[in-house]
Amino acid sequence: MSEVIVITSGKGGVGKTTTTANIGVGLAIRGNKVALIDTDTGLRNLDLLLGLENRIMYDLVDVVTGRIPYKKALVRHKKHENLFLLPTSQIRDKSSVNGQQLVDVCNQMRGEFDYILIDCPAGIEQGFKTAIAAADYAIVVTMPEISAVRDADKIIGELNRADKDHIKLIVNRIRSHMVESGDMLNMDDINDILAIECIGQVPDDEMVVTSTNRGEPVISNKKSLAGQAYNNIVGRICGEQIPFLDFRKKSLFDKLKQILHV
Amino acid sequence: MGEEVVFKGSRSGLKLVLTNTADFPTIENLIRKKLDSSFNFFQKGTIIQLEAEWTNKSQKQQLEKLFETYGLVLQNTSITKQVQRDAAANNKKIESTAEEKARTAKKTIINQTIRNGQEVISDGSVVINGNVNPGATIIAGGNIDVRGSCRGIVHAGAFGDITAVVMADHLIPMQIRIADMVARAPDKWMSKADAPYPEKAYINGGQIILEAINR
Repeated sequence: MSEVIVITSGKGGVGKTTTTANIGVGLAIRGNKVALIDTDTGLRNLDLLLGLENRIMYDLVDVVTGRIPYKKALVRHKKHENLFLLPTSQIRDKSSVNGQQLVDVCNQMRGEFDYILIDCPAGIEQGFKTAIAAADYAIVVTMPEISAVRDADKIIGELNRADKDHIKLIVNRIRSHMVESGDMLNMDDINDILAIECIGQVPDDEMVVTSTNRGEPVISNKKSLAGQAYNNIVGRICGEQIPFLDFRKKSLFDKLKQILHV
Repeated sequence: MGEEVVFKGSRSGLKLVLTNTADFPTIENLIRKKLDSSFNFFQKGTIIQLEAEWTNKSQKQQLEKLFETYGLVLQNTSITKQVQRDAAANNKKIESTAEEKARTAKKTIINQTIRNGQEVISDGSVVINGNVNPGATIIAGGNIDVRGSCRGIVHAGAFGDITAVVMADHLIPMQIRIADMVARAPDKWMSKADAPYPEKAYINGGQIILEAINR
C-alpha cells in the first residue's frame, strides 16, 4: 500500500517544489516506485526542476476530466527509472481540479506506487484544499523567518481543521551564520511555536539554484550540504534514525580539534 | 462665565454640573447656548446625569423639558431619589452578580495549541493547555489561563470585567486587553527567554500590570 504525502507551506518561495523534487528523487534512488503530482495548476514548476518539460504530453486536467487514463499522462524520469511525474496544466487554473477528483486519481495510483508526493500551491484557497484532500500525511516546509513561520502555523491549523493530524516539518534555507548572530530565528524558536515533529533542516545552498536551472535535483550532488540534508530527510521518511547535520562553518582550529578529539 | 455649566464625562456616563453661583434663568440660558453650540455633538437619546443639589423640583422639571427638546434625557441624582435608586440598583446588582457568576463560572478548557488565524471566544473563563501562537486571538468574558507560551492577542473581561486576569507560563503576547484597556508588546522580537517564569496580567491603578506568580 502506498503513502500519499502532500508537501505544503502556505507562503510561496520557501521551497515546496524543490523539496518535492528532491525527496522524490531520493526515494526513487532507494528503490521505491514514486509518483510526483504537481497540483500548482497554471504555475507549474515541478517539471522544470526535474528537467522533464519537453516530455510532457498530457496533464492532470486531462486525467481528472476523464479524457485519458492517468498512466498516459505520467512522465518517466530520464535518469531514475522508477520516478514518475504527473504534471498539471499550464493553461488552466486551480478551479479545474477539485479535491474529490484528486482523491480518485490517487486511489487509482495507490496500488501502483510506493510513494505519491503531491506538490501543493502556495496559499490556503481552492488549490491548497484540492492538494491536501488525498494526503495521508503532510510535510510543511518553512524558513527561519517570521513570515514563513507564521504562515506555516496557519497551514498547520488548516490541516488540523481538515482532519490531517499527521504533519511533519522541514526547515529550509537555513543560513547558519545568520542564525548564530541572532538575525534569523533559530530551531528552538521554530519548534517552540510550531510544535510538530521536525524531519529536516536544510541549509541555504547556492548549488540548489544551479541544480534547479539544470533540471537536476541537488540530492544527487554528493558535494552539496543541502543535498546531504535532503538525503537524510528521505532516510527519516523511510523510518531511519538520522541525527541532524551540523552545517555551521568550522574554522581550521575547530577541525583540528575534531581530528585530535579534544 | 463658563464655570456655572459644565458637562463632565465619567465612567458612569455624562454629567451636567451646575454650581450655585448664578440665578436659575441665566443658567438656563447658558445651558441652551451650550446645547445650541454643540448641536449634533450629543447623540439623540444620550442620558445625562444632573448634579445640582441646590435646584428645586420645578427647576429640575424645567431643565428636563429643556433637554427633551434637544432629544436628550436628563436624569436627576437628587438625594431622595438616590436612595430609591440605590435600593433598586442593589436589587439589580444581586441579579447581575448572580448572572455574572454564572457567566464567569463557565470555564472552557481547550487541550490544543491555538494557531495563527484561529480564534477562541467564550463568555466565561478560558483555560488553554497548549500554546497561543502569534496571530491567534482569545476573547473571554472572564479570565484567561494559558498553560504554555502565550504569543497571540488575549482579551480577558471582554464584557467590562476589570477584575479579569490573564495568566500564562510564558506571557509574551502581541497585546493584552483587559476590559477596555490595551497593553501591547515591545517592538523588539520577544522570545521565551524574555518571560522565563509564569506571569499574570491585571488592571491596577488604571493600567495593565504584569506580575510573577507561583504555580
